[in-house]
Amino acid sequence: MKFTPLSLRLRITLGFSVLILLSLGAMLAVEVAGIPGTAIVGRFARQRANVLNDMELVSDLFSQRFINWFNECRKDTEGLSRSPFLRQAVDSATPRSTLELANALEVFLATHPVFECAALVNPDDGSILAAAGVSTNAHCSADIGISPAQLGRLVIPGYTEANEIRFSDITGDRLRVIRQIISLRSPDRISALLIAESNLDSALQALISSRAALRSRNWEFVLASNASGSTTRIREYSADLVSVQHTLPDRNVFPALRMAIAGIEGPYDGPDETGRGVLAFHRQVKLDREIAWGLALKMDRNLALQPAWAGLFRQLIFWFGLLVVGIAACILLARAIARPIQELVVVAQRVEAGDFTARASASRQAELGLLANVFNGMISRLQHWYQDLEREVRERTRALQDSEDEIRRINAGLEQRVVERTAELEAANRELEAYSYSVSHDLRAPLRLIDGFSQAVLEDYAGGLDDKGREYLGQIRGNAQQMAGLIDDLLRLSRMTRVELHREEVNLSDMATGIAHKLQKQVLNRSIEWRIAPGLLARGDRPLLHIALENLLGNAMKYTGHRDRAVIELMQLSAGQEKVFVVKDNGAGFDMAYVGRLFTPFQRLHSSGEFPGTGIGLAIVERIIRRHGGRVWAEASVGQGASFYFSLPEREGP
Amino acid sequence: MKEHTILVVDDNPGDAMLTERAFRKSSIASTLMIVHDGQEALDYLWGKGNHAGRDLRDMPALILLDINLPRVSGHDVLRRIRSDPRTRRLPVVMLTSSCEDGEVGRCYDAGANSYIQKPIDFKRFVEVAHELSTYWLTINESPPAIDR
Repeated sequence: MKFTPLSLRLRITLGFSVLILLSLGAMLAVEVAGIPGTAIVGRFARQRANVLNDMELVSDLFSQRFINWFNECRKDTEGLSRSPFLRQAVDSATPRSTLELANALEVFLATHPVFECAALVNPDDGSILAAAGVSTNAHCSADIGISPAQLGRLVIPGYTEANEIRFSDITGDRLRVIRQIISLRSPDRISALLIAESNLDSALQALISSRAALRSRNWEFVLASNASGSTTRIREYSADLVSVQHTLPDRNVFPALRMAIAGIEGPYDGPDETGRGVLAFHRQVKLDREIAWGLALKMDRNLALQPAWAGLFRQLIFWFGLLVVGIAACILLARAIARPIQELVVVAQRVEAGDFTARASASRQAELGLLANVFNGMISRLQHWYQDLEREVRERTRALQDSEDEIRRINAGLEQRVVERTAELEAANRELEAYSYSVSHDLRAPLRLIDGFSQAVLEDYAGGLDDKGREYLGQIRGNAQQMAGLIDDLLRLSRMTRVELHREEVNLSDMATGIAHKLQKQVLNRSIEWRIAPGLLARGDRPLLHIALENLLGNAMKYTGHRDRAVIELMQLSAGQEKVFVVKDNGAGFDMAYVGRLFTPFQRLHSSGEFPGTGIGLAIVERIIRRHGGRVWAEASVGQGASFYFSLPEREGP
Repeated sequence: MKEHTILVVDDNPGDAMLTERAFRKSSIASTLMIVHDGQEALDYLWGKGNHAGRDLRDMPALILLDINLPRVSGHDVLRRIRSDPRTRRLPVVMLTSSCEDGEVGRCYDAGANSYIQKPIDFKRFVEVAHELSTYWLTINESPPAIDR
């Protein structure tokens, strides 16, 4: 996959956006979960702690007020039970005093609205001495719920006070405060029992609806109390003070309430008896030695954390706004940074295309403005350099053209001179040719005459000559003829250097085979093995190469004359730019000490008596090969045969 | 029968002598007229100079012409013989010691009937002279004389 680099603008935008997102994420994490190991806690934990704290405070306040209420009830009855007027009226035990007692109780109820009813009971028989409030019509203690056995316990001397909770579905649950009234006449005698009852529900509702308890409308008060040590009744008060009461063990009990009953105080976070998640605080409220209430304040967990959710939501909206603003700022910033750079790029591209007049516009941003200035300076220098360079190139070109003209002029002069020299050389060559021609002609003519007149003397005056004279004349003729042969050879040699070369592809094998046939015909009685490699090709002048090969093969044949079985070979040794061929024989060979004289005209390494010849053949071969641009050399040893090498270049040489 | 005349043009007296001897030795009877340069050869043929008043009806049966000649060269002599109506039918044999390349072709182009290199060996030369006279004087049919 090919990676395309992002633009600077996009990278700045993305980078800052990611930075903003990361910081917002971190803030959100802190907001929700806090920082572990520090005092900073999350929004939800804080809210939960607040709620539980409130609950603790309120439950404490509530329990104190509850205890206060209870103690007031006790004090009120204590005051009445010690009243001398009441004690005297009880002691007198007259019908009038009974009326007075009833009035006193009425007055007590009227001045103490906490109590709903009050009664005075005769401890001896349980008869009602006087009554007020809802129990006015009662006649005996059983009517107000006191059994004779209980009555017996209540009159134990010194046990002046007894408090109990009475559950009643008819009259409502009540707190009953019972006090012994001591006779004025005999302080050892209990003259009567004062029984006052207070409605629990109204008292509790009054307490709960008090200002301190209304911290949250979603709180519920759950109170558990037991009456007579056997039944436990649970009261639940919701915010609108609707009271629900039920008696255990009719269903599951709220676990926090259980702990409250057990006397454990503390916060609770868990399910209630219906499985709903709640926050709660539970404590025990101990009214006196025997009466203890369980109190639990509870609240739906979701409702409790609702403010945290709402706060978080508000926070998120705020942060989202920040994010949008931040990203917008990033985009604007990136554009502001990237635009001058983009402009610089455009200017650089124009410069690259060869427009040196391009300039970057001044930027308001400090560094980029500086960069633009530097850039412009750079372009200016480039422009100057470029102009200088162009001027330089123009000047150099002009100078070059001048010198080229000069060279052309000189060349023309040189060519002219070459033409002139060539013409001169050609003229000289022609002269030389004419000269050599006339020399040969002029030399040959006297020789022929020497021969002719010698012959004429021999024929016409034979009678006047003795054998010696005839032999001398024979010597004259023989030498004249030899000299004529030398002149002919010399002419042939000079012709080799003069004729024009016409190079073509020559099959040396075919040529050598033809020559071998011709040579073999001259010596039919000799046994010669011709080993001519097939397909040897070379570039050269056909007639000249023919002469060269004829000389080499002829030489080989001549110098193998003493061999019973002569072997003459033609082979190619190397190919390429220069082909090297060799003509090899098994003849007389020669001493390598004299190899330097081999190719010199008229130099011979063997006497004419041994092998006839004028010594011109190899010189001709050498001239021909040299004219082709090749070389000739030889290797031999006496009696071991000789090898004559010659090379022929493939390209047109000098 | 009248003896045939052979005009020998050769500047070298020795050569001329040997040529004369060679033809003398050959069995064909002939008269040799020897001149030593090209101008004299033309004078003889056309009856001028030293040869003024010569009977021009008596034209040589054969001209042996050397190439290297004083005054007028063999080539020029040949060309002028061929350009004159009186002599243009005369058989001309180039007899020379030269064996230069191109010389032979030039001579034939100029109208030579034959080209012979003088052999060095005089015996061979005698044989050549004999064969020449045999061929040109007996075998070959001479061109008819041109009427005036």
